[in-house]
Amino acid sequence: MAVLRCKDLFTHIGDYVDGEIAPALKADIDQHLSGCQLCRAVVESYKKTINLLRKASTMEPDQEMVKRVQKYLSSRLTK
Amino acid sequence: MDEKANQELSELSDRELVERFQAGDKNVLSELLNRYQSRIYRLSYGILRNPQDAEEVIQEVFLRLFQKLDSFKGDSTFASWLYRVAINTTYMKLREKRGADMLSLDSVSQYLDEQIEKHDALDWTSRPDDELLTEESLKIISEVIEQLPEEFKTVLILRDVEGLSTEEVGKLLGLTPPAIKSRLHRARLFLRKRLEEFYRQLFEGG
Repeated sequence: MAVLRCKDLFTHIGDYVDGEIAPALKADIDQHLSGCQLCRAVVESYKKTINLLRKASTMEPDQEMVKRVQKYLSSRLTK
Repeated sequence: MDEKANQELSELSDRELVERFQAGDKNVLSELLNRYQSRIYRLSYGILRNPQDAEEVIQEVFLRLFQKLDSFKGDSTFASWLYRVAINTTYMKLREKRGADMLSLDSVSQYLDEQIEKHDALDWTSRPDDELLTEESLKIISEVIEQLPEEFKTVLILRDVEGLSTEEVGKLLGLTPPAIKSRLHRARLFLRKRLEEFYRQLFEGG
């Protein structure tokens, strides 16, 4: 690929962060990032967004809910 | 069931549990419930953003599972089959409750073409997660997911929360890997933009 521009980075950022990118393109992006502070910040914010979403979504059903579900299923399955 | 029997069940594969069920052993149901209820809850809550609705989805999914397990043929993995039932059940619930605040596909699509803003990049990403995950930011994350069209939010939850691969999500939703990647990318950009606006306001006062 020719010299990678900031706009190109934006197109490939998902694949880059997910590690689903061809080695040659990854090398081009790494090279671009080494000289572009703005794109480094964009990549970091993209990664951080995924991380925060994951951490904000670690909810589990509480024990009371689990008991209610079990009770409901038992009542329905014994009919 | 005693503890030893529970321990024995917990060591079996999904396929072995299904085979036991099909051979008449109904005790495996509690193990399947233990194994999958958290995942189904995270998926349905992640999409519906309401604990009561998510609970109803779990009930419906497992009821259907237990009623249909006899006819499960193993063409797909048990987990895929269960996810598919959970997604369909969640979508049905979502359609019952759909509000007017969901974004159109077009309004999300604009984020694919979003230009990198030429402001000085705000370095909020170096702050610890504990500082960033405030009650308000959690509310924003929740609102953003609520507003996304259903396939976008499902892809986002399955990929970034549940950790399924692009291929797995594609099979579940009947979409190609490029279509999954595109939806995921746009959903992430939409969330990122909203979070960045919030943190800029919070840390820079404007």
